[in-house]
Amino acid sequence: MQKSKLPLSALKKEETGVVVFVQGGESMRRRLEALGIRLGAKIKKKSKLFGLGPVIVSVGNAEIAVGYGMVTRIFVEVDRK
Amino acid sequence: MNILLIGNPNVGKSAIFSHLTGVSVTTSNYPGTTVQFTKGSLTYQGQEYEVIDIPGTYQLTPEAEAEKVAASMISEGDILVNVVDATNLERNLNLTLQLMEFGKPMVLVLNMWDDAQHKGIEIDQELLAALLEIPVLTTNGLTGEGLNQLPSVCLSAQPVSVPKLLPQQRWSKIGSIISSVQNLSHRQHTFAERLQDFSIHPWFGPPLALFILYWAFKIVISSGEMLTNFTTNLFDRVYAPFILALSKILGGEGLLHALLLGDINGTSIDYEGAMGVLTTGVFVTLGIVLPYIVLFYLVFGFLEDLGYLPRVAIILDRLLHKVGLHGYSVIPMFLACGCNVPGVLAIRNLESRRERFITAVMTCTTIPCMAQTSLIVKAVGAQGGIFVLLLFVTLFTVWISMGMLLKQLVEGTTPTLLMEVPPYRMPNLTIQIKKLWLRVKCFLKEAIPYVLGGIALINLLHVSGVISWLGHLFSPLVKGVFGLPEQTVAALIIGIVRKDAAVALLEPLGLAGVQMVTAVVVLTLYFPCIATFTVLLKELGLKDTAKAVAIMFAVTLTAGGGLNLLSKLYNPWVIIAVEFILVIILALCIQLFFSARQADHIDRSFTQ
Repeated sequence: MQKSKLPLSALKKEETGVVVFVQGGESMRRRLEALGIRLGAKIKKKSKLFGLGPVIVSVGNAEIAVGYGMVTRIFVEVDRK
Repeated sequence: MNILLIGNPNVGKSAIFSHLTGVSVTTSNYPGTTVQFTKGSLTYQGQEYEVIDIPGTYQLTPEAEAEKVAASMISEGDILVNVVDATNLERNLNLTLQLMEFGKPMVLVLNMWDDAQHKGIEIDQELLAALLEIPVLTTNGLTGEGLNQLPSVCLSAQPVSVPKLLPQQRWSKIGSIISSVQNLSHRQHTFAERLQDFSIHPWFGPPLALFILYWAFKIVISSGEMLTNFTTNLFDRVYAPFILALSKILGGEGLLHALLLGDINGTSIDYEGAMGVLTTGVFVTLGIVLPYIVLFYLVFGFLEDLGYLPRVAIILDRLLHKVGLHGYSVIPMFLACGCNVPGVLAIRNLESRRERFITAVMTCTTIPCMAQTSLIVKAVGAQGGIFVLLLFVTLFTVWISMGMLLKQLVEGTTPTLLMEVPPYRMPNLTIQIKKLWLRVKCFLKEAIPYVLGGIALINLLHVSGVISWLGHLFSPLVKGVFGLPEQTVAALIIGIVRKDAAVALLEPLGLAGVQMVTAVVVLTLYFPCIATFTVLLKELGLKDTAKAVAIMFAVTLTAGGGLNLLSKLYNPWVIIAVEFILVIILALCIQLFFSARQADHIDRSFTQ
């Protein structure tokens, strides 16, 4: 088992990680935080639409659609073998 | 004394609002802004209280306009009721703690209490109240359970006093509250949740969306036909004798007769063609458009409250990025399919000026309203179903080509999509009816005066001969570029008032196949109806509206002229294929010419 840091886009379906880093301005961080996507939050990738479409994640009990522009800038830590 | 309802989006706030207030609900704008809120009144122990439903918000940072308005309304409020989704307590508490800093009397309402229990979420209500030092109620907004106590709890609530916290401190406080009051247990996935995953599945989602939207429109159009048959009958039986009597009193001719009643003879009335304020004006708005508006918003409201619309937005996000927008723009465009007026009004909810401009222009140029759509299906469908397909493919071709170009040409940024996917919930009938009423009222208020005024104006132009003069003036353009007969000019001018009435006027001209499609395309594109134009002017301002109108004319010339050229190909299937190829060529050209700028745009949208 080894911990690796990945952008949300590289996560596999149904894989869970912990948010460790958000690359972006204050306003983007606030928007994400208000929806529960903040440092230390457990996040699970539910599905992804084709191409550069949005990614659906679940945080707490809510499901959030995150547009591709943000998906590559949210970094999570996952346990992988 | 007023009571404010505040909470995140999708927490069932409007259901609670609807239970608390009576029928007299009004929607108004916060002074000086485009942010709307709903107001109603509650009578409790003989006292009347004003209840205000603040637009749903996740936070109160002073950056977004809606949040700024929410914050200033809250500081003017007397009692705050914070509605919270019990299934998402942790995230919701972020707003709760921010609200407590206002120091007002405050009540916390844990809504969707049933849902939380089904999902295996236990919340210690008393401990939560003790930790926050404010009263906590549990409710089920849809059934109204637990809401009876709300007024008395509100009135006995005391002002809270808490120190101001930094975001970091706030989250750590939330963390400690959650760990002591909430207890989660595992449970099975429910059927609704499986359906939820299915409807945004990359493979099944899009076809399902097509299927649902197709049937939604099909239902509206066919039940609309029945309803308008009924209203036409009603007009013939009840309204006609009154009009005919009035015609006699006015002597059957003269300016006033022409203005009020238009072109009618002593025995029968052609409501669509007469063009009088009291004949065509009243009939078209109340007899044709209103039934379609009611039906459309009935279906739309159902899909909205069910929670399906956000999913359509997510599925279409990728497509909309191609035209410089993101998924959320689907909502105004979809609303505009009912009537362009509420569609254009809804662009207020979009974040950037660029998005608002592109959405507004694309919406009022290419999207026909429901009444127009139904008449198009009737008039063009008479020539064969393939022509209806050709018409909508052409409109879509225009939509996407226009969007791809606007994306390159309009300065500014488009923020990335970030939205909650609400769980499916069965819509509540009372709330549905209230919502429908608000929307219909908006239509009656915003659209009808302009339609009646417009008809009166056109009548004056007709009587004074201006219209036939315009017909001659524009006939080289209409004949030469669009390949249409001169009489279409009259229909096009009437299209400024009502597009549906204009479609009806095209029918007797005997246009063949592609020619009919060209006429309807030109009619749809060249200018929005007067009511839409007025809201457009209000929303975009003079300068941007002028730009929008210039774009519309350019688009009409290109599309109408192009279609006339393509009509030489005879076969509508070939035309459809050519249109697809043209879109692909345009996309490639844009890629070649603008690729450098595009990279720059993406960069800027990231820093948002």
